[in-house]
Amino acid sequence: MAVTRMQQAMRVVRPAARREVVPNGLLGMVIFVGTEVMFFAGLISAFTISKAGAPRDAWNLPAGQVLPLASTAVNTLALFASGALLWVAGRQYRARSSGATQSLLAAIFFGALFVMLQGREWVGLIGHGVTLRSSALGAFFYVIVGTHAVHVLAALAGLGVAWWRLRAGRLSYGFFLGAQTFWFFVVLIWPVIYARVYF
Amino acid sequence: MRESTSRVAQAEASALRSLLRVGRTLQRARSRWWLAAALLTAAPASALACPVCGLIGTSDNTWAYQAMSAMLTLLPLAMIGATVWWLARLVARADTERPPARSAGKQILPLARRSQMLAGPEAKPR
Repeated sequence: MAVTRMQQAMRVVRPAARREVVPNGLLGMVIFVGTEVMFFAGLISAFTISKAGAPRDAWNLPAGQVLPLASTAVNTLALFASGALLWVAGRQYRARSSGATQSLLAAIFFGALFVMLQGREWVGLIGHGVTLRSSALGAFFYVIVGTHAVHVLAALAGLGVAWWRLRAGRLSYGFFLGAQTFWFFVVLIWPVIYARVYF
Repeated sequence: MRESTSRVAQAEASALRSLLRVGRTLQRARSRWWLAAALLTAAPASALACPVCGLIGTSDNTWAYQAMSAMLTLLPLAMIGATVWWLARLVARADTERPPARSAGKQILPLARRSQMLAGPEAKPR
Protein backbone atom coordinates (compact mmCIF):
# COMPACT_ATOMS: atom_id res chain seq x y z
CA MET A 1 0.00 0.00 0.00
CA ALA A 2 2.77 2.34 1.06
CA VAL A 3 4.73 1.44 -2.06
CA THR A 4 1.72 2.28 -4.21
CA ARG A 5 1.38 5.64 -2.55
CA MET A 6 5.08 6.26 -3.00
CA GLN A 7 4.85 5.37 -6.68
CA GLN A 8 1.83 7.61 -7.04
CA ALA A 9 3.66 10.52 -5.41
CA MET A 10 6.78 9.94 -7.52
CA ARG A 11 4.73 9.76 -10.69
CA VAL A 12 3.23 13.13 -9.93
CA VAL A 13 6.58 14.66 -8.99
CA ARG A 14 9.02 13.29 -11.60
CA PRO A 15 8.27 15.22 -14.81
CA ALA A 16 8.18 18.52 -12.95
CA ALA A 17 7.98 21.60 -15.08
CA ARG A 18 10.74 24.05 -14.18
CA ARG A 19 9.74 27.51 -13.17
CA GLU A 20 12.20 30.36 -13.52
CA VAL A 21 11.86 32.56 -10.47
CA VAL A 22 14.96 34.57 -11.37
CA PRO A 23 16.65 34.88 -14.79
CA ASN A 24 19.87 32.84 -15.02
CA GLY A 25 21.81 35.89 -16.20
CA LEU A 26 20.79 37.85 -13.14
CA LEU A 27 21.59 35.03 -10.71
CA GLY A 28 25.01 34.52 -12.30
CA MET A 29 25.72 38.23 -12.12
CA VAL A 30 24.67 38.38 -8.46
CA ILE A 31 27.14 35.60 -7.60
CA PHE A 32 29.87 37.31 -9.65
CA VAL A 33 29.20 40.63 -7.94
CA GLY A 34 29.55 38.83 -4.59
CA THR A 35 33.06 37.74 -5.52
CA GLU A 36 33.87 41.25 -6.74
CA VAL A 37 32.69 42.71 -3.44
CA MET A 38 35.11 40.40 -1.63
CA PHE A 39 37.90 41.43 -4.01
CA PHE A 40 37.40 45.11 -3.23
CA ALA A 41 36.96 44.30 0.46
CA GLY A 42 40.41 42.68 0.37
CA LEU A 43 41.96 45.74 -1.28
CA ILE A 44 40.31 48.14 1.15
CA SER A 45 41.33 45.95 4.07
CA ALA A 46 44.98 45.97 2.96
CA PHE A 47 44.81 49.74 2.50
CA THR A 48 43.25 50.32 5.93
CA ILE A 49 45.75 48.15 7.80
CA SER A 50 48.74 49.63 5.97
CA LYS A 51 47.51 53.16 6.59
CA ALA A 52 46.87 52.50 10.27
CA GLY A 53 50.31 50.93 10.68
CA ALA A 54 52.28 53.57 8.82
CA PRO A 55 53.93 56.48 10.64
CA ARG A 56 51.87 59.68 10.28
CA ASP A 57 54.40 61.57 8.20
CA ALA A 58 55.09 58.61 5.90
CA TRP A 59 51.55 58.31 4.53
CA ASN A 60 51.79 61.11 1.96
CA LEU A 61 52.10 61.70 -1.72
CA PRO A 62 55.45 63.00 -2.98
CA ALA A 63 56.22 66.74 -3.20
CA GLY A 64 53.31 67.69 -0.94
CA GLN A 65 50.71 66.60 -3.47
CA VAL A 66 47.18 65.80 -2.28
CA LEU A 67 44.49 63.68 -3.88
CA PRO A 68 41.95 65.81 -5.80
CA LEU A 69 38.94 65.67 -3.46
CA ALA A 70 36.74 68.33 -5.09
CA SER A 71 37.07 67.27 -8.71
CA THR A 72 36.51 63.64 -7.70
CA ALA A 73 33.31 64.71 -5.97
CA VAL A 74 32.11 66.05 -9.33
CA ASN A 75 33.06 62.74 -10.96
CA THR A 76 31.11 60.95 -8.26
CA LEU A 77 28.03 63.02 -9.10
CA ALA A 78 28.37 62.00 -12.75
CA LEU A 79 28.52 58.35 -11.71
CA PHE A 80 25.45 58.71 -9.48
CA ALA A 81 23.58 60.43 -12.30
CA SER A 82 24.45 57.50 -14.52
CA GLY A 83 23.11 55.04 -11.94
CA ALA A 84 19.88 57.01 -11.57
CA LEU A 85 19.42 57.15 -15.34
CA LEU A 86 19.93 53.41 -15.60
CA TRP A 87 17.31 52.86 -12.91
CA VAL A 88 14.89 55.02 -14.94
CA ALA A 89 15.82 53.06 -18.08
CA GLY A 90 14.98 49.84 -16.25
CA ARG A 91 11.54 51.11 -15.33
CA GLN A 92 10.93 52.29 -18.88
CA TYR A 93 12.12 48.97 -20.28
CA ARG A 94 9.72 47.05 -18.04
CA ALA A 95 6.91 49.41 -19.09
CA ARG A 96 7.94 48.83 -22.74
CA SER A 97 8.41 52.55 -23.17
CA SER A 98 10.43 53.84 -26.12
CA GLY A 99 12.31 56.22 -23.82
CA ALA A 100 14.38 53.36 -22.42
CA THR A 101 16.87 53.62 -25.29
CA GLN A 102 17.54 57.31 -24.63
CA SER A 103 17.81 56.81 -20.86
CA LEU A 104 20.23 53.93 -21.33
CA LEU A 105 22.33 55.99 -23.72
CA ALA A 106 22.40 58.88 -21.25
CA ALA A 107 23.50 56.48 -18.50
CA ILE A 108 26.34 55.28 -20.71
CA PHE A 109 27.31 58.88 -21.46
CA PHE A 110 27.57 59.83 -17.77
CA GLY A 111 29.48 56.63 -17.01
CA ALA A 112 31.95 57.41 -19.80
CA LEU A 113 32.21 60.98 -18.49
CA PHE A 114 33.20 59.60 -15.09
CA VAL A 115 35.98 57.51 -16.60
CA MET A 116 37.24 60.41 -18.71
CA LEU A 117 37.34 62.81 -15.76
CA GLN A 118 39.15 60.19 -13.68
CA GLY A 119 41.64 59.75 -16.50
CA ARG A 120 42.24 63.50 -16.58
CA GLU A 121 42.95 63.45 -12.85
CA TRP A 122 45.39 60.61 -13.29
CA VAL A 123 47.25 62.50 -16.01
CA GLY A 124 47.56 65.49 -13.65
CA LEU A 125 48.81 63.33 -10.78
CA ILE A 126 51.34 61.49 -12.91
CA GLY A 127 52.55 64.86 -14.20
CA HIS A 128 53.23 65.89 -10.60
CA GLY A 129 55.31 62.76 -9.97
CA VAL A 130 52.67 60.66 -8.25
CA THR A 131 53.25 57.18 -9.59
CA LEU A 132 52.77 53.61 -8.52
CA ARG A 133 56.30 53.58 -7.06
CA SER A 134 56.42 57.07 -5.59
CA SER A 135 54.87 56.13 -2.24
CA ALA A 136 52.71 53.52 -0.54
CA LEU A 137 49.67 55.82 -0.78
CA GLY A 138 50.31 56.35 -4.49
CA ALA A 139 50.57 52.59 -5.05
CA PHE A 140 47.32 51.89 -3.21
CA PHE A 141 45.58 54.78 -4.96
CA TYR A 142 46.44 53.58 -8.44
CA VAL A 143 45.69 49.93 -7.68
CA ILE A 144 42.30 50.47 -6.02
CA VAL A 145 41.02 53.32 -8.18
CA GLY A 146 42.48 51.74 -11.31
CA THR A 147 40.80 48.42 -10.58
CA HIS A 148 37.50 50.25 -10.15
CA ALA A 149 38.05 52.07 -13.44
CA VAL A 150 38.62 48.72 -15.20
CA HIS A 151 35.33 47.48 -13.74
CA VAL A 152 33.58 50.64 -14.93
CA LEU A 153 34.91 50.07 -18.45
CA ALA A 154 33.71 46.46 -18.42
CA ALA A 155 30.30 47.53 -17.13
CA LEU A 156 30.11 50.23 -19.81
CA ALA A 157 30.82 47.60 -22.46
CA GLY A 158 27.94 45.52 -21.05
CA LEU A 159 25.63 48.54 -21.10
CA GLY A 160 26.72 49.31 -24.65
CA VAL A 161 25.77 45.81 -25.78
CA ALA A 162 22.45 46.15 -23.93
CA TRP A 163 21.76 49.46 -25.68
CA TRP A 164 22.62 48.00 -29.08
CA ARG A 165 20.34 45.03 -28.53
CA LEU A 166 17.56 47.23 -27.18
CA ARG A 167 17.73 49.39 -30.27
CA ALA A 168 17.55 46.29 -32.47
CA GLY A 169 14.67 44.91 -30.38
CA ARG A 170 16.69 41.84 -29.35
CA LEU A 171 17.42 42.64 -25.70
CA SER A 172 16.49 39.88 -23.27
CA TYR A 173 15.31 40.77 -19.80
CA GLY A 174 17.99 38.58 -18.19
CA PHE A 175 20.82 40.34 -20.04
CA PHE A 176 19.45 43.76 -19.17
CA LEU A 177 19.15 42.84 -15.50
CA GLY A 178 22.69 41.42 -15.47
CA ALA A 179 24.18 44.57 -17.03
CA GLN A 180 22.12 46.75 -14.71
CA THR A 181 23.24 44.81 -11.61
CA PHE A 182 26.91 45.13 -12.55
CA TRP A 183 26.55 48.85 -13.18
CA PHE A 184 24.79 49.35 -9.85
CA PHE A 185 27.68 47.49 -8.22
CA VAL A 186 30.32 49.80 -9.71
CA VAL A 187 28.23 52.84 -8.79
CA LEU A 188 27.64 51.75 -5.19
CA ILE A 189 31.20 50.56 -4.47
CA TRP A 190 32.62 53.91 -5.58
CA PRO A 191 31.52 56.00 -2.53
CA VAL A 192 33.18 53.41 -0.27
CA ILE A 193 36.44 53.71 -2.24
CA TYR A 194 36.18 57.49 -2.36
CA ALA A 195 35.58 57.82 1.37
CA ARG A 196 38.32 55.35 2.29
CA VAL A 197 41.12 56.28 -0.13
CA TYR A 198 40.67 60.02 -0.69
CA PHE A 199 40.10 61.11 2.93
CA MET B 1 91.86 -19.45 11.80
CA ARG B 2 90.72 -18.54 15.29
CA GLU B 3 92.98 -15.45 15.22
CA SER B 4 91.53 -14.22 11.98
CA THR B 5 88.00 -14.80 13.31
CA SER B 6 88.74 -12.80 16.42
CA ARG B 7 90.24 -10.02 14.29
CA VAL B 8 87.10 -9.85 12.20
CA ALA B 9 85.04 -9.78 15.37
CA GLN B 10 87.17 -6.98 16.76
CA ALA B 11 86.86 -4.99 13.55
CA GLU B 12 83.08 -5.47 13.56
CA ALA B 13 82.93 -4.43 17.19
CA SER B 14 84.95 -1.29 16.57
CA ALA B 15 82.77 -0.45 13.55
CA LEU B 16 79.66 -0.88 15.67
CA ARG B 17 81.16 1.27 18.40
CA SER B 18 82.00 4.03 15.94
CA LEU B 19 78.46 3.79 14.48
CA LEU B 20 77.04 4.13 17.96
CA ARG B 21 79.24 7.15 18.50
CA VAL B 22 77.92 8.73 15.27
CA GLY B 23 74.37 7.92 16.37
CA ARG B 24 74.94 9.60 19.71
CA THR B 25 76.42 12.66 17.97
CA LEU B 26 73.44 12.83 15.68
CA GLN B 27 71.11 12.45 18.63
CA ARG B 28 72.91 15.23 20.42
CA ALA B 29 72.69 17.45 17.30
CA ARG B 30 68.99 16.70 16.96
CA SER B 31 68.29 17.56 20.56
CA ARG B 32 70.22 20.82 20.10
CA TRP B 33 68.08 21.60 17.06
CA TRP B 34 64.89 21.01 19.04
CA LEU B 35 66.23 23.20 21.83
CA ALA B 36 66.96 26.01 19.36
CA ALA B 37 63.49 25.67 17.81
CA ALA B 38 61.87 25.79 21.25
CA LEU B 39 63.85 28.91 22.13
CA LEU B 40 62.84 30.56 18.84
CA THR B 41 59.16 29.93 19.53
CA ALA B 42 59.64 31.41 22.98
CA ALA B 43 61.05 34.58 21.41
CA PRO B 44 58.87 35.30 18.35
CA ALA B 45 59.87 38.95 18.08
CA SER B 46 63.30 38.03 16.80
CA ALA B 47 61.76 35.92 14.02
CA LEU B 48 59.22 38.55 12.93
CA ALA B 49 58.76 38.68 9.18
CA CYS B 50 55.65 40.87 8.85
CA PRO B 51 56.59 44.51 8.20
CA VAL B 52 53.32 45.85 9.57
CA CYS B 53 53.06 43.61 12.64
CA GLY B 54 56.01 45.37 14.27
CA LEU B 55 53.80 48.41 14.77
CA ILE B 56 51.22 46.56 16.85
CA GLY B 57 50.61 48.46 20.04
CA THR B 58 52.64 51.42 18.84
CA SER B 59 49.91 52.95 16.72
CA ASP B 60 46.22 52.59 16.14
CA ASN B 61 46.46 49.63 13.79
CA THR B 62 45.09 47.15 16.32
CA TRP B 63 41.58 48.41 15.68
CA ALA B 64 42.27 48.20 11.93
CA TYR B 65 43.17 44.52 12.24
CA GLN B 66 40.10 43.79 14.31
CA ALA B 67 37.72 45.82 12.14
CA MET B 68 39.03 44.37 8.88
CA SER B 69 38.96 40.82 10.26
CA ALA B 70 35.35 41.35 11.29
CA MET B 71 34.51 42.86 7.90
CA LEU B 72 36.14 40.06 5.90
CA THR B 73 34.44 37.45 8.08
CA LEU B 74 30.95 38.91 8.19
CA LEU B 75 30.69 40.33 4.67
CA PRO B 76 30.55 36.97 2.81
CA LEU B 77 28.16 35.55 5.39
CA ALA B 78 25.90 38.59 5.04
CA MET B 79 25.97 38.35 1.24
CA ILE B 80 25.16 34.63 1.24
CA GLY B 81 22.36 35.22 3.74
CA ALA B 82 20.96 38.10 1.70
CA THR B 83 21.05 36.05 -1.52
CA VAL B 84 19.28 33.10 0.12
CA TRP B 85 16.63 35.41 1.63
CA TRP B 86 16.11 37.13 -1.74
CA LEU B 87 15.73 33.81 -3.58
CA ALA B 88 13.36 32.45 -0.93
CA ARG B 89 11.25 35.60 -1.23
CA LEU B 90 11.14 35.27 -5.02
CA VAL B 91 10.09 31.61 -4.77
CA ALA B 92 7.41 32.46 -2.20
CA ARG B 93 6.12 35.26 -4.39
CA ALA B 94 6.06 32.99 -7.45
CA ASP B 95 4.07 30.41 -5.43
CA THR B 96 1.55 33.04 -4.38
CA GLU B 97 1.18 34.57 -7.80
CA ARG B 98 0.93 31.26 -9.67
CA PRO B 99 -0.74 28.55 -7.57
CA PRO B 100 0.32 25.09 -8.76
CA ALA B 101 -1.90 23.80 -11.55
CA ARG B 102 -3.94 20.65 -10.92
CA SER B 103 -2.90 18.80 -14.06
CA ALA B 104 -1.01 15.75 -12.84
CA GLY B 105 2.53 15.18 -14.08
CA LYS B 106 3.23 18.80 -14.96
CA GLN B 107 4.39 20.46 -11.79
CA ILE B 108 6.05 20.00 -8.42
CA LEU B 109 3.61 19.55 -5.57
CA PRO B 110 4.18 21.53 -2.42
CA LEU B 111 6.15 19.61 0.20
CA ALA B 112 3.23 19.43 2.66
CA ARG B 113 0.98 17.93 0.01
CA ARG B 114 3.59 15.34 -0.94
CA SER B 115 4.08 14.28 2.68
CA GLN B 116 0.32 13.99 3.08
CA MET B 117 0.14 11.85 -0.03
CA LEU B 118 2.90 9.58 1.25
CA ALA B 119 1.28 9.28 4.69
CA GLY B 120 -2.14 8.42 3.30
CA PRO B 121 -5.57 9.98 3.75
CA GLU B 122 -5.97 8.59 7.30
CA ALA B 123 -2.96 10.57 8.56
CA LYS B 124 -3.83 13.67 10.51
CA PRO B 125 -2.33 16.90 9.25
CA ARG B 126 0.33 18.25 11.62
